[in-house]
Amino acid sequence: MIAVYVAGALIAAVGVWGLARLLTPVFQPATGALYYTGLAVSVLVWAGLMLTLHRMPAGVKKRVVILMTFAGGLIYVLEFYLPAQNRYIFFWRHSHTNAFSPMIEPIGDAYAVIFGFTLFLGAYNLARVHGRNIAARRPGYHNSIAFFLAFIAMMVFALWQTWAPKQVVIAHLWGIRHLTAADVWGYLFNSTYVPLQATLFSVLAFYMATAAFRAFRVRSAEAGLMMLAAFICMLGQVPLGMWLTHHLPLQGPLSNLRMEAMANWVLGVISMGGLRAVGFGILVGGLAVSLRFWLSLERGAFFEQEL
Amino acid sequence: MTQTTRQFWVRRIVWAVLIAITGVFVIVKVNATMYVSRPALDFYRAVEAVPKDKIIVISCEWEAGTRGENGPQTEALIRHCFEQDKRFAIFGWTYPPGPTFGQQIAERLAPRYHKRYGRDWVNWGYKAGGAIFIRAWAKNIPGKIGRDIYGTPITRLPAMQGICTIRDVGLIASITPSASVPVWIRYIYGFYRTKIVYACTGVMAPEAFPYYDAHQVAGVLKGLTGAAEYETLLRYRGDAMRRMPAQSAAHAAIILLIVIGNVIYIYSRRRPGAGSPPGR
Repeated sequence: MIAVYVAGALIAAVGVWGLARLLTPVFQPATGALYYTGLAVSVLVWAGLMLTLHRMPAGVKKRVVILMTFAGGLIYVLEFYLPAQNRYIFFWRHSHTNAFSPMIEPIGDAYAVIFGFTLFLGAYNLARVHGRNIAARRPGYHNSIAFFLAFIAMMVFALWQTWAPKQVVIAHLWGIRHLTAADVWGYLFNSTYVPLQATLFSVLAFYMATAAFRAFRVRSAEAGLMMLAAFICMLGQVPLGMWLTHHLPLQGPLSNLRMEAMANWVLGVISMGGLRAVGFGILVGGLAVSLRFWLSLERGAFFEQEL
Repeated sequence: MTQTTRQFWVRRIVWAVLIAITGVFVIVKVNATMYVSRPALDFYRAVEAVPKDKIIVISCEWEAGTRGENGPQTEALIRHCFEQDKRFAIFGWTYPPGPTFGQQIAERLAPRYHKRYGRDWVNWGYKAGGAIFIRAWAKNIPGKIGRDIYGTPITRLPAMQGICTIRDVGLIASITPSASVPVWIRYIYGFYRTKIVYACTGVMAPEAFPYYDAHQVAGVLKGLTGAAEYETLLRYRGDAMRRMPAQSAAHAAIILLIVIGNVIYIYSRRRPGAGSPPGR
């Protein structure tokens, strides 16, 4: 059974390598008529491919997705784990270099393009959800109107200021003269988006203060230790804490009692051990989950849906 | 007074105290003294050690929410690059507005140091694709970046002369509130041993130390404190140093609130027939 799996993996590896080798010249930079022809052909081919895939039975679609996931993962696994240069493994290459390494660049390009499509898909979904809210006059549909206004304004002026930053948008209005596209975008970005997001984030400080007052209780010795560590770290990061122990020397054994030294010790020794343990746990778990994704063994939401 | 009303007022009082204390120290000028920690000193030394023929990649992976911390960090780093005549590239791959903020800071500082865009620094803008893009980027920088934020092919810019692969990058400075630095470590430090320095927000600082201790990250700036330490090393009092008294006051206020909360809690537990402690 194991031999079958190994043989299957080897055949898949050779297949993936051959396919990627075949496609590598397609991803070379092109300009002028060749670029536009290539673009048009790509769109047509992909549209045809998607249409064919869409019309396939559910079982076939699922197998295609499984195969693509496995092939995609296999390239990266082989490229990562096989040595960069080895005359025995890559005996057929004159340079004896990793045969999968040249594929990383074109696949990176393809991934960036797919990633761009997902951004578009996200924007489309947002527009659809908010559009339905407005059409059905659901509670809070005013927020959806605000979304569309903000979305359209930001998009229009971001594109406008890229194409023609000096173009005048408003010539004369309430004493304002020559408001260019770049000015409007700058206003939307610097005076609207930035303060809004900064405000949203800064609210956290107030919630933290209330939570500290209401929930940080010394109910046990462990909680007491945690509070002590928190106090040292908080004071050790600011001049006030540094000032509290400034009379202690900067060198010698007593320097370890300076607030900033204690804070760095808590962060760099005590907390680091715990964080390393947590990190290892997360990564081992992540490895298991990645394997399940790669081999399409994952079950539950999205993985068992009818395609 | 019902518990809900009490909760309502307790919250408002805490917020008012915090606003008042930080507000006073933002307005009143206090000369704070910073002692430079080892991770910040190593960050500074890593920048100093970059040879002239290599470029520094300033990865602005932050947005407006953490501007208070990542902004002064970026400013101090760009100031250092300008002072030392180091070429740098502003870049972003996690948060789209990051390179815009970096560019704004560089443009503001450039006239003071007589620096010019294209010659002394370049902005590659935001690139989508995450870790997979970073892997491809390392092998062919001009090919993957293509054009700068103004649409100019980067190969035409003097700042990009001789920059082809990751081997021509002297240092990567990852300025971010997110956990994106493991990507740099995994795919850049792991493969090519390119030096990486990490400027994180205060809350992310504990997560930076395992990488720093393992020398996978050459230096760390911890939030606003890190930026203030960097400014101290540059012998300059910038935004970070100006904000440190307010941060000191906020930390002291939070400590005081925790102490008060616990005193009330202990007192309410000792009182015979006491119900739930106040503030809860």
